[in-house]
Amino acid sequence: MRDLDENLERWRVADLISPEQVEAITEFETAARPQRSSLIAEVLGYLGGALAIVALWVFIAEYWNNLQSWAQLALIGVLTLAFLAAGAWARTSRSEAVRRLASFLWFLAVAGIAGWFGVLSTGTLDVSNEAVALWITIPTFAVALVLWLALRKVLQVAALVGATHAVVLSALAQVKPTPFDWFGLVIWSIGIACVLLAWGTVLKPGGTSYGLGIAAILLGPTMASAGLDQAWPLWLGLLTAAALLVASISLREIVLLVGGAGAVFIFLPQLIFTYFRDTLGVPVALFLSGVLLIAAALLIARLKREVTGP
Amino acid sequence: MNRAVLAVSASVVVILAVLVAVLVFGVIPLPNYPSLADNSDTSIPGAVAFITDDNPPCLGVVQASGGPTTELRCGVVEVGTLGWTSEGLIVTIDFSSAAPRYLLIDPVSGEVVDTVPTDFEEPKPLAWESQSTRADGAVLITDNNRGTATVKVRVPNQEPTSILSTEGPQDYSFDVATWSPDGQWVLVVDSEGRILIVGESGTPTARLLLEGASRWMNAAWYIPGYPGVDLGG
Repeated sequence: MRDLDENLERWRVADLISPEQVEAITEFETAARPQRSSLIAEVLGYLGGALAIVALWVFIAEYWNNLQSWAQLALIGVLTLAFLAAGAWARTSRSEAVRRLASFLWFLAVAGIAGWFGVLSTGTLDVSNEAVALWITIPTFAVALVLWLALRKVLQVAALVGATHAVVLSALAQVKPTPFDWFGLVIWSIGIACVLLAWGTVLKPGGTSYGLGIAAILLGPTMASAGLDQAWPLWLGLLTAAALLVASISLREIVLLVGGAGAVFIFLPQLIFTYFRDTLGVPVALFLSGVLLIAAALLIARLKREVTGP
Repeated sequence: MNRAVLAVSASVVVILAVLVAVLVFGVIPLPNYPSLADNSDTSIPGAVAFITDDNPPCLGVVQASGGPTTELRCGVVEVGTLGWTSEGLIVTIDFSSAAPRYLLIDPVSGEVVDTVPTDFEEPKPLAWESQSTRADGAVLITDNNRGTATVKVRVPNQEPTSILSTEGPQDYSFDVATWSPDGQWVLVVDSEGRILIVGESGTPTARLLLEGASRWMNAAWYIPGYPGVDLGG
C-alpha cells in the first residue's frame, strides 16, 4: 500500500493523474484489500480449529480401539457429514474468509471419507488385505472429484490429485506380483497429466495444478531410478525438465520455469554421480555437478527474462 | 481441436502408455514349481510343521511327501520358531506367561502335552542356525540379489555350491533354508510364503510343498528315528 501511495504521488506530481483520481484509486484499493484485523482473525480461527481437531483426535485415539466398528463408523460418518454440510453452507457465504473455510472443511471431508471406508472395509466387511486399498481409494477419489467440481480451490485440487495417485497405484497393486519398482514411473505420468490438464485449463486452479504436477514429475523418476536401480528414469526426468523449460518460455509461465529448473537441479547431479562416481571419484563428480549446475543456473536466469518479459 | 480437449487426450494417452509399459515390462512372473500336492513323492520322508500366513495364524502340519495340510491351534498358536522333539512332538516357545517356556504340542490334536521352562541360556535349542547346519558341518546359505534368488551349500573348506537358483521379480527371495533331519533334502521358504523341497545336491529340483506359510517363520522337519530338539530336561 505504501508503494501505491508513493507511486500515486509521483504520478500526481508529474500531472499524469488528477488529485481526484488519486483519491478514487486510493478508496478503491483500500476497499478491495482485506483488512489486516480480519486476516489475523482468520489465521487465529484456523489455528484454533486445528488445535481443536488435534485435541479431538487425541481424545478419540485414546478410546478408539475400545469402540465397536459400528461406533467408529458412526463417529467418522457424523464428523464427515458435518464437514460436508458446514462446507456447503460456508461456500455460499458472502464473506471471502468463510468461503475459504469451505475449502478447508471439504478437504477434511475427503479425509473423513477415506477413514470411513477404511473402517468399513477392515472392521466391518473384513475385506481381504489386497482389496482394502481399492475400497478406500475409489470412493475417496469419487468424492474428491465431486467436491472439486463444485469448488475449484487449492485444497480441492490437492485432494483430487492425491486421490488420483492413490486410486491408480492401488489398482496397479492388484496385479500380482505387484510392480512396486515401477510406481515412480506411474507417479511421473500422473504429474505430466496434471501439467497438461493445467495447461488446458481443465484442472484449476492452474498454479496449484502445475505445482502438484511438477512435484510428481520431480519425485517419480527419482523413485523409479532407485527402485529399478537403473539410470534411464533420471534421463526421463531430465528430458521432462527440458520440456518444462521450453514450455515455460512459449507459455510465459513462471511456475513451469521453476519446475524445470528444480528438475535440472535434482536429476543432473544424480546422473553425473551415476556415471562418473566410480570412474572419476566423488570429488570430481561433485565438481562436475557444480559446474553444470552453474551453467544451468545461468541458462535458467536467461530463460527467466524470456518468460517474465521486459 | 481446442486446448482442453487436446490436454485431456494427451493426459489419457500418457497415463495409459505408462500403465501399459509397466504391465508389459514391469510385471515379472513368479517362478513356478511342480506341486507335490498334485504329484506326491513318497521318497521324501517325514512331516513338516510351519506357521500359516492366515489372520489369525495357525500351526500347519503336512507330510513332506506332499498332501493336505492339517491346521491346528488357529488363533491361539504361539507364533515363533518351531522344532520337533525326537518323539515327534512340535516345540515352540510361549512368551505369554511371566516365565517363557517351551510348549510341546501333539501334531495330530494340537493339544499342549507338556511344557518345559526356559531361561534362554546357551545352547538355544530352537536357534535357526542349528536347522541350517547339517551334521557334517555343511551350511545352507540364501543369497538374494535383485530378483535372483539362490540357495547354496557351503561344505567346510570348500567353495559354496548352488543347489537352487531362480529368477523372479526384484523383491523375490528365498528367506529360510533348513536341512531335513537326514540331511538328504533342503526345505526352502520363499518370499511368497511358499515352502519348497529340493534334493541336497539340487536334484531332484525344487518342488512346491504348499503355499500360504508365513515367510518370516521357519518350517521344521521331522523324520522318525532322527534326533530332535534337545530341551535339556
